Amino acid sequence: MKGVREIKRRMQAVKNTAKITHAMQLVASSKMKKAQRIAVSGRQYILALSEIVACLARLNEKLIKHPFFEKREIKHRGVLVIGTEKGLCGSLNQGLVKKIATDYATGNEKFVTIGKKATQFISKLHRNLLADFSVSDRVELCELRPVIEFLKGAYLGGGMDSVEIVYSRSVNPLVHEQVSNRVLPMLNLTEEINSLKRRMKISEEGVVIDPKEMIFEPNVQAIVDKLSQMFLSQSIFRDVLEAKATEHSARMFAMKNATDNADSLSKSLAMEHNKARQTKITNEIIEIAAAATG
Amino acid sequence: MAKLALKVITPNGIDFEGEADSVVIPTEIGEIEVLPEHRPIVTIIAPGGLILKNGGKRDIYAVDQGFARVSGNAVSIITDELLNMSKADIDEIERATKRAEQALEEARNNRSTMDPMEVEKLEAKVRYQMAKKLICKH
Repeated sequence: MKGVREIKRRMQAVKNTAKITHAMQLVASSKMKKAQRIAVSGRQYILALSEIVACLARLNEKLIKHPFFEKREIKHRGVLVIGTEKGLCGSLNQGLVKKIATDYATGNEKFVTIGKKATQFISKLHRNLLADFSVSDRVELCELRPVIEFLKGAYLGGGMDSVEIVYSRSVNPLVHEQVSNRVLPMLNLTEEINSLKRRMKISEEGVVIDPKEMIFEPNVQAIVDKLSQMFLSQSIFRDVLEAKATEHSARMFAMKNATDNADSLSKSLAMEHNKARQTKITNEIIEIAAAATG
Repeated sequence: MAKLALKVITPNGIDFEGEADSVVIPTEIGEIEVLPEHRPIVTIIAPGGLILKNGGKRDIYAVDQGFARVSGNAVSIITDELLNMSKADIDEIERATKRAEQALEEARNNRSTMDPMEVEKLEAKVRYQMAKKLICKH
């Protein structure tokens, strides 16, 4: 049996830990609410944009002269991994590691990361890491500008033939999944649009296609030029927002679990402490009694 | 007669959803009026006045740059910002215009330190404010 004083010291330590994790849980929950609101309100916008891009992608390929809409042979896949900046968020990053180890293992991938944790595990996996970026918790589009410019440059320069984003998003507050989203080239968006609609709980009918021929004003090229740039940055921005919201919700639950564990540990320590105290008292009484009779 | 189902979507979500007999959209090459059964069209919006006509009623909104898509009788306007002009305050717009112009001026002076995309954004903002002012006086 451990000494009473030692148990007491441990109890205090556990209680302090519980206080810290509880505070972190509260912080994460308030950040999560904010991040989720932003992520959810942005979904309509990206959906509407992707519907227009889908209209363009259905056009005859000869009409669109833009590298973002080109079909090329994929020699090098560009992968943007959105991890977290800090740990203590449950199995979020492990999930990403698993996804990358299974789905991106051909050796022709080039990785770009957002978040320190992502950088760490990509280099631990000995993958080809081209660049790493960091963003703050309340991410703005202008913070992502360097990332977007980098990916665009690599894609246009031929260093990457496609760009995919790998990130975690929450299915519900308790469950999150690791998904990949191809942003370049912009072909075949139907899948993406349908999955967006599922998440937004809109009925999953395809884009309403008017049988009449679509007019593009002032002309197709002008729209393609303007839209493709905007769509690229908005897609990346949207995925980062989703990843951030998921990170906060995962952290909130990880911290809640930690607090619960600390509480139950503290209860069992209290029991142990009481027993130890009682044993000590009993021993003392026995000693006194023995001395008196002896 | 069939009506148009209009939806205005901004980065903050759906800003406006409603029906209209016709919609006037400011585009880069002039205003277009969309009536029901219009041919499907995708166009670039220039900052300006978006006019909704319902019976004899006209509602004017100011829209920022963006895109419009007409498909069937559904009109989607995708823009950075929307403002209902009947609730707009001319003095506030006046002040906002000044602020935007000032910010742009500053940005132009430190072009070396500013992100060119940011300068472009500010320019768009000034254009949008100007458009709002024009509509107000209209």
